[in-house]
Amino acid sequence: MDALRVGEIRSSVRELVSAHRGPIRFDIAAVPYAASAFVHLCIDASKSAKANTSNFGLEKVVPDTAHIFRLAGLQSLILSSI
Amino acid sequence: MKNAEVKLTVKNRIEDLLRVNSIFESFATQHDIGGKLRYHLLVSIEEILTNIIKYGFDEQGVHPIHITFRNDSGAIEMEFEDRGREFNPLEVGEPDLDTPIEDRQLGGLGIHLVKNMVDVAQYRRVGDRNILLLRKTRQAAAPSA
Repeated sequence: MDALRVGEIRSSVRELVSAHRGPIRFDIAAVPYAASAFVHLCIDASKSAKANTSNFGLEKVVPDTAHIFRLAGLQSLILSSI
Repeated sequence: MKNAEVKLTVKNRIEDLLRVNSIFESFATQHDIGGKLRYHLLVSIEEILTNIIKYGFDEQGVHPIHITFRNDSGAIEMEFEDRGREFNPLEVGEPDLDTPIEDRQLGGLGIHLVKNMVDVAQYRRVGDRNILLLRKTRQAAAPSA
């Protein structure tokens, strides 16, 4: 999930997340690669969920992606790993 | 053929990230760069390139960015060179990782990741060129968990 791909999905994800009520979970088992652009997307999603008095989390996180989130100080977003 | 050094020039367009990644992947395969080392270098490439593309140039238009991948005695070096405005990315302030997510500012995270993923990061300004050297030793990278 590099900057190019995140740029392609950002507006769709924002639209979906802002319209959703209730907890938001991203199943990212199929995301073997993530950099800061994807972390920013998740921060946005988390802020949006909190604004709707709900919460956000990541499920099925692969180790390399989990490492990126730990370096970003966002390990609390990781709900489950694979 | 196995080249110890690969040089390429791309434009300041985010789409060119694909080409850089593709050439790096080929270089990495040639030099048995795998696992966590490969991952960390890929992330570093993306963060540095997107930084240069987004913030490096005051004026619009196409600007070249020169990149070198080097396999050098047990370490991998990557050099990024551009003629953008003088900017040392290593001086970007560290993101506040303790701030609650809802109050997080977005700046500085990419460079923070790079600093944590390479062993050496050196910036120098030579004439009108920004030159950033990243170096990571093979021993420092444990296999993926």
